[in-house]
Amino acid sequence: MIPAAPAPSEAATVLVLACLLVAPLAIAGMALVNTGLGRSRSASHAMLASLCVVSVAAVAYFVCGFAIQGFAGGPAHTIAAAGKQWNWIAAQPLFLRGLPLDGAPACLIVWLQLLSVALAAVIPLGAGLDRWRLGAASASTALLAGLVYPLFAHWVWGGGWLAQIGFVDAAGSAPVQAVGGLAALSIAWILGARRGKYASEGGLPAAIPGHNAVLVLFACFLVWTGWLGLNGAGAMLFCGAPVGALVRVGLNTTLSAAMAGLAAAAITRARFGRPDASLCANGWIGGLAASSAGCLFFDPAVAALTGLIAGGLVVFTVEWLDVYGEIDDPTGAVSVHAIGGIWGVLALGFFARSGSNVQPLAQVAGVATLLGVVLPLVYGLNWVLDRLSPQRVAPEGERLGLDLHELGAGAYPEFVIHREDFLQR
Amino acid sequence: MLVAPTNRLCCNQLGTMRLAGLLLLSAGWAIVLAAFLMLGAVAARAAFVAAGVAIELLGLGLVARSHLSPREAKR
Repeated sequence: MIPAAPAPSEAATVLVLACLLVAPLAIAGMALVNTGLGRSRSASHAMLASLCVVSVAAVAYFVCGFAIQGFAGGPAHTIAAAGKQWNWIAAQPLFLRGLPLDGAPACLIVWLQLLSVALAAVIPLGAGLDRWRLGAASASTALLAGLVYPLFAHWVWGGGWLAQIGFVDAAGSAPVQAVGGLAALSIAWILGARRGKYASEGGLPAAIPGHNAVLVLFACFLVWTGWLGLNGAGAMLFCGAPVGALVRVGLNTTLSAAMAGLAAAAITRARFGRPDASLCANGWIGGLAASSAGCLFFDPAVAALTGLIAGGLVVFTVEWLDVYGEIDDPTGAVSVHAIGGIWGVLALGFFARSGSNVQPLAQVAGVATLLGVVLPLVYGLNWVLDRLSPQRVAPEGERLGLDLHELGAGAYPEFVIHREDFLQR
Repeated sequence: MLVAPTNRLCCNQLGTMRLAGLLLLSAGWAIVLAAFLMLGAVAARAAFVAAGVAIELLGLGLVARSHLSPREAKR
């Protein structure tokens, strides 16, 4: 059994609380990214959808999510195999019953996880922009936050079998970023592309630019601030990092994002003749996603290298998935969060100085679990939801824009700043 | 590079391809899991883990291909 992390000192508890207070900025930033990279006719819908899925995620996690996830050292169900007890699901009561809300590590973990699950829930919205119904997004989020996320998070952070084989993730490259990114991939597959995206016979897909680059770039600053809080709180609560280690966490998080942003700018400058704003934002956030797993364990130079590679990966995979995979992902959520997060997990295995030759294998096993359990599970659940009630909005709603179709009013009623260029005639 | 299926592949066949891909994803994971449960030597374990991940990538490619729109019927 994986023992619980030692109880933090009073100073550490204060710092964790400070981290938790800034962490919601990451969610706000992601909501702004989703809004800015969508069309103006669906801007209000994108923001409201973010608020709704955050609410649904928090409630679902409160109702049954924490009961499934639990915490290291807490009650859990085990399976005996190969002469060992393998911990596979927590056995906490529903509705957080019996949890002492007095600043103990368990209740701090609940608070951090409420924020983490909300962040994971906002990620798929980016892949379903301009065509995902509000009700369907909320129902999909309930399943993600109430079942899929807690199950995988238990395996990683709740003393589950992945933790038992040595898998390490300080702050959520796998449980938060990769799970959210794979949910985004499922949603992009199930919804299909936006009308007109792949209309041209044998040609390149239509570029459908976001409507507000300023929102997206400002959001990068918010996301960075929130990420510092998430990584700091995760390192202290899940890995028992001392107060002084927060300096390393902050440096590594910032360096990874900075190098990823620079890599994206340099690659797009070299390929297209000028830096691409949305891809630079994607690179920045991809660097943050990759930083989470190893932020406590890397030397700063290694964190910078991890970010550099993450930035390159994000830029190339955004284009590859769009052109060759026909995955219409308006915000690049799959590349940024799934591929960035998976790279962060692998980088910890390859670069961290753990002194163990088993560490890389354990990290690969974590990635295999993401692909072999999380992706089929989240795809299957969303497929069933789609069969029960179509997740995609009607063609007329897509033509009008989700603001008018689902909310009855546009985000920018004084201005008409969108055109019909990207619709089939 | 993924190659789009043609219209000769009807919906049922694409559905079967998708299901097979998802099953391959899970089967690959089962091999990785078995490696950790049953094998002690690091080299043997690494070989099984690599085989499991390769099968998962095959499954991922199959699922991705089943979602490509047919070449003759681009939207």
